Amino acid sequence: MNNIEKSFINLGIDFGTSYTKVCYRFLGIEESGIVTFGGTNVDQAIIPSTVNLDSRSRISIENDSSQKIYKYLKMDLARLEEFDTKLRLEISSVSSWYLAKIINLSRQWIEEKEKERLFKRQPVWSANVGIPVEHYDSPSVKNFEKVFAVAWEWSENRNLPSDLNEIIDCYKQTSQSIAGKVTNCHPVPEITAAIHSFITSREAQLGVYVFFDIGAGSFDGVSFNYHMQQGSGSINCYAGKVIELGVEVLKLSDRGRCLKCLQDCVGEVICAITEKDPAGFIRDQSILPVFVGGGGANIEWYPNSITFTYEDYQHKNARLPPYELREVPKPSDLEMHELNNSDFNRFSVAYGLSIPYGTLMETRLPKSVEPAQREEQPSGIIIPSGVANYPDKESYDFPRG
Amino acid sequence: MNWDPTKAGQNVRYIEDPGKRGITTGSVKEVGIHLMVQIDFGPNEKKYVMSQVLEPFEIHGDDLKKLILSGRFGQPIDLRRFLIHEKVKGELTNVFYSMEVSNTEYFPHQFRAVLKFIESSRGRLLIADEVGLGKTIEAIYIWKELQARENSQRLLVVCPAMLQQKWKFELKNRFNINASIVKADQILDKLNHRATLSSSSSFVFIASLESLRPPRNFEDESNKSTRAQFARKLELENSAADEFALFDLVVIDEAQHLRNPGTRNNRLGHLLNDASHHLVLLTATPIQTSSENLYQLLRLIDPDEFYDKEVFNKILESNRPIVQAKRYLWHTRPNVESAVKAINSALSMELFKDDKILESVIQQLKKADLDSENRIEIIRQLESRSLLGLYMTRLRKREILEKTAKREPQVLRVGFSDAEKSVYDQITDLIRKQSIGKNFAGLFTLVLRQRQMASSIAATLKDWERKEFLEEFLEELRWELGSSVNANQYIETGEIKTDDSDLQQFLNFSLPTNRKILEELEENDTKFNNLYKFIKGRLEENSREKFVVFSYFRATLRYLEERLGQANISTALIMGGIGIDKQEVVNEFERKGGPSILLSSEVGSEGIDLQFCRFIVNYDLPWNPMRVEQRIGRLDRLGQKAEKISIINMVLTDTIEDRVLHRLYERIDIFKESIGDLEEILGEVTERLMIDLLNPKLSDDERSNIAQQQEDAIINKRAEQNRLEKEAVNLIGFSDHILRHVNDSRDRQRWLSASELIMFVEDFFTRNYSGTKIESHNKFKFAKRIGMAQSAQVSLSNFIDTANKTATPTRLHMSGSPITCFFDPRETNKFAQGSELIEPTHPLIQWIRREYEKENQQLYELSALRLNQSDAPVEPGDYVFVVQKWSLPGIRSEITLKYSAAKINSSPTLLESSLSEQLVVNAARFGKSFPNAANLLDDPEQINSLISKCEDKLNELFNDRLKNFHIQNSFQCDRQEFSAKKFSERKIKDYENRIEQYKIQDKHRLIPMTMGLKNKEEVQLETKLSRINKFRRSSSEEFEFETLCAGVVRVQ
Repeated sequence: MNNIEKSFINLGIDFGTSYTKVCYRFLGIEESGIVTFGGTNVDQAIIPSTVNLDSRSRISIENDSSQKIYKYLKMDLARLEEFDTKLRLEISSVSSWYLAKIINLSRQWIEEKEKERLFKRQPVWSANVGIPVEHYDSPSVKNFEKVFAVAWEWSENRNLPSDLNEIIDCYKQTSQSIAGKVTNCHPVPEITAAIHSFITSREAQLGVYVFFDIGAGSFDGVSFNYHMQQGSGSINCYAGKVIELGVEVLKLSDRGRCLKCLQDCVGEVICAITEKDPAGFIRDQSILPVFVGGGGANIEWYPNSITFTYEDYQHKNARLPPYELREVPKPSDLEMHELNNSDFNRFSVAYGLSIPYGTLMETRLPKSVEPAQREEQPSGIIIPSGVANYPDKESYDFPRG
Repeated sequence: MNWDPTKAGQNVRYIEDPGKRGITTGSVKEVGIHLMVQIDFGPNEKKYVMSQVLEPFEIHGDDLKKLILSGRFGQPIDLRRFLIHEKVKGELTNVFYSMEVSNTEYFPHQFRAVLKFIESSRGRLLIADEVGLGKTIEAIYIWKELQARENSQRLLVVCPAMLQQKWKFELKNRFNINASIVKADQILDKLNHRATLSSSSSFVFIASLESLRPPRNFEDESNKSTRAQFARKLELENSAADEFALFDLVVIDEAQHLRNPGTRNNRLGHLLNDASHHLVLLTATPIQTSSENLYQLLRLIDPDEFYDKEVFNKILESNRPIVQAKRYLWHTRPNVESAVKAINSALSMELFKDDKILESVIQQLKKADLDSENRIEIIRQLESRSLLGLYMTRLRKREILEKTAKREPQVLRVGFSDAEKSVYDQITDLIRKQSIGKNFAGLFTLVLRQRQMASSIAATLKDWERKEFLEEFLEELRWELGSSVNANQYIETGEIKTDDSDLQQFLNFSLPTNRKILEELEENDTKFNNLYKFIKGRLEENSREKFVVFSYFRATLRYLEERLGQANISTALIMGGIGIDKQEVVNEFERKGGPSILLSSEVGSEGIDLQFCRFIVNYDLPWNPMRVEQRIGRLDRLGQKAEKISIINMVLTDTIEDRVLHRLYERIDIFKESIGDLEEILGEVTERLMIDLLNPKLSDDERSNIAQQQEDAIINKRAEQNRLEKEAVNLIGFSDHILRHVNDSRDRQRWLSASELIMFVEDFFTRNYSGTKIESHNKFKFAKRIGMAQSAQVSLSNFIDTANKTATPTRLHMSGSPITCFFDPRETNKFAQGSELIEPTHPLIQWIRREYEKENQQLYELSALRLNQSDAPVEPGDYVFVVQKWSLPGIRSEITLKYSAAKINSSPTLLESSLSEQLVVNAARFGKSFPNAANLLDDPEQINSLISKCEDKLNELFNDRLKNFHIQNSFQCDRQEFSAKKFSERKIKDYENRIEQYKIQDKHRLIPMTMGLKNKEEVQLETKLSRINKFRRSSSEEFEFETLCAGVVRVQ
């Protein structure tokens, strides 16, 4: 088949703790779009990351007369070893089913929405699914890989079983049959995708940046340096940190304690710059751009708390330039469909994930950027050989191939 | 397609976006089941791409048909890039580079001169539009064309001293061009250093006619004066024909001052003509006394062609039938038969004997069905044969202003109080007595004093007490003398010196007066009270009404400001010498709720536009009607929206001068309509009249009689003038078709717009030098904040150091922070310091252009687009299009883009060329991407066949054009050769005579220089002839038509 008769499409699935968001990218023309699932506002374009089980042991993503609700599937997958064998299998199967369902729905929606683009053409699909980086760089990544691989295999079949027991049986069979097979569904650290959501913009300038992603459950931060390496863009991450202080956590917590917790996190992420900035890039900057994304970016408390950290933690004395808080701009190659440009915040990670794994910029992770290491630069993608030995288990690492 | 991604150095492109191209580095990695291959897209542009979406290609390896068959359609940007790129090159004959580049409203007639200039092979033009139509703007448009097309860098504007500031203002405020007002020594200095300072040899200079006028004996090298040296420089280094000319363009404003042969002004005109690559003369009065005037001006433009009066008369006579023929064809129902008859009549004249173009026009008229396009083309061909049309353009207000505001004059007659009359008579008596035995300047000074009294007695007496009075008075006098027709002659002869020492003596009287009388005069100021009553009445009817009150005298204006302020009427004041930003005052005055009255002098209002206002009050009447028109002209100009303009004249019935002036102005209807060319003649007469009235020996009746006689003379003069004008229109011809051409050009985007330039820059940086930041400006649509990536700065910097010849300075390549760049010159008055105007001559654009030329594979020739029907000139459906570039080098080279389009259906038909152009231009402007066009379009074979048809059509048209072009080119070559030889013969003869004379007069010192000039003339003739021959021989290989790009548009 001539390649003009194929259309390569990559899905970017932001498998959030509370909600899942999907973007897609036509690789032949490098244009992305948001999967709105027919919704006309942002709430209709995101899908709760929950699975409902009814009294007849049938599962669905619709929330009606549930006997049991599977919540926090992503968290459970990360700590699967803590559960007994039966529950482990159940969580894995339900997670695969959920993702297969999301992939199926996304494909159907895209095939309908983009039918002209796909006229007389066969779509060739691939996907990136985001996971928190600390899990990526731990044994639990195997759980994710297995669950994603099964989901991908299932997604080829549009008629997914809905009976829980049948699903569990199917999971056992499929996971065995695909063992060792190369798949086109990859786990990618969410924060790497988030950085790429604005660094891939042609207008991104070289320099040191900080990015905070405020989700429903978690608050993620990363500081990094974007520079040129032999003619192509390259990223050195100085520090990364995740705390459970997302929008929904904040609603239920004491703000005073939350402020301290958040500013400690912000301080840690930002102070790493002074320790790890190898070429002194930050000295040339009159401001430190701090991007704030995610659904919580519009809640004043977050940007204010981040801004106050500069004075509260006396960052001026650490010779850090003042912060300049910025929204993550909507990329020019992203089609929002029925949504407003201002909704992009919620989709920045999904957009980054829609850029195919393997075409992302070379990224060095915090542990590879030691304070003593100055001008030395790597020549290829750094793939850590073992578990990252961070002082803080919530630091970041880079995706494995 | 099978290819080896691991092989470095292969040219690859995206299959679905073939305009996006790069080179493999040889580096690959496997990800999942896919292979990622590293591609180098340009500086700082290496990235990994999935191998299956790419394919290798050979540069220039695929022809259009192959690309269509394989479905390799590019994006809308590929079409835009082609069209903008061609425009930015600055070569296209049918594009206006000056359109939309100024902070002025668009008026098509202002591009008529530009079009003539572009289409002429002479590089010389006389613009003789009537006052108020924007000759200055037209001249600057021509400069912008030359900048864009020829990278011109040296502009000299020569004008009367009083207009220097106006030029500076127009250049800066309308075009963001910084000009310097200079004298001969500064120009000389710049010219002497230009060989050594290549990059900074650019300049925009404004110099007064007076300061450049050569002394009579300037040829004598012992005359070391700067003006003599300057004139010698012009005479010795004149090589106007080539790029080494001292000036790229010389503009001479108020060129009628140069028309008298034998004067030093005229000599200067000839010297400047010889030393400048291009020349533009501006005058509102090409024919003042007889057609001899026009002849002399045209001689300045082209001494080769208009070498004697007899030839000129022959030209006038021969031209008449051509103008008639154009008229017949332009008529709503063209009269072909009469047109053919007129052309035949022209062919019977000596000047048009065997004229191939006219013969070809007759053939075309006989066979063509005269649709509008054919007709325009034929008229264009006739225009090219118009013997005067090539050299000059003339427009009158009534020809172009469809709806002009009606002028409604109103008189406020004011009688003196007893006290006022007594003071006035006393001073008048004194002034008249002083006039005995005075020379012109002295009389002029007295007239000025007399008029000041009539302006405002209270203000005048107060003023004469002030210490600064003398200085201000002198300034006003100098300004008046500078524009006085009579004074000019005296200044020329050195009889009037405009410095303090000579004039002070005329001001040495003062009036015995005391504080009490002054206070009383002020309190019972009948003129002011009348004004106040009038304005108050109007303001009561409409509190937002605005008035412009003019007075010639600063003292009067200050006095009115004070008195109106006391009466709680808000005012704004503009006058010379108070160091304010005039535009700011005008902006404040224009604001709703701003001052009700603008107090202004003529000097103050120079260069400002007050079209938003409809009341004008002449607090005093100028004695020169030109000033009256200047005042009214501030309001009655292009852009005035009101249906009528009220002109309120305050006339002192107790003064003979006011009575006489007002009666005269009423008789010649000056307050009712623009009097055009009469102004200057009138100025001469009224000036003299005012002086005559000073004669103390005359009784009031005698004064009245003299005035009456002068008025009659003026009225007769006007009748004569109208006759001449009518004749001139017949001679020069009309040009409605040109206006139509200009409007068409605008509609079809035949100009380089700000948005196209932005697209050009943005598109470049989306493909090269990532890290370059282009942010939108939060206030201005056509402004961007550009911060260039370091690698881009290095490249631009190298370009500026080595290749760039543009005059425009930039900081983009060295600035650490983003720079605000404006792309729309119409926003010039909003520019903050440090911002830059990006136009075709800016180094950034030149650099990008060169980068594209280096990497011409970046341009991709096939595209597919979707266009909404609302943006399309055609019905829904699929269309193919072809864009060709035609290059016809000759004495007047033609480089044009041509378009052809056809609808894809069972019985395809070709669209007519203007529709094709509109379709392609709109598609480029508004078109959206048409993804998967290869699969959505039906039959690639049919597309190919239609593209061939479009190409065939264009090829056929090209051959027709080529035939005509050959005829025109060889005709123009013959003509120029003939003129050049004739001119040279005469000049050499002249030098030989001069040498003989010097021998007889024993002036041997001058002989070597004259011999040198004679030799030089011989060499110049050789150069001219070889240039002409070069164009005559333009070989067929040099005539090119090339398909630039093609594609498909789906209109839906």
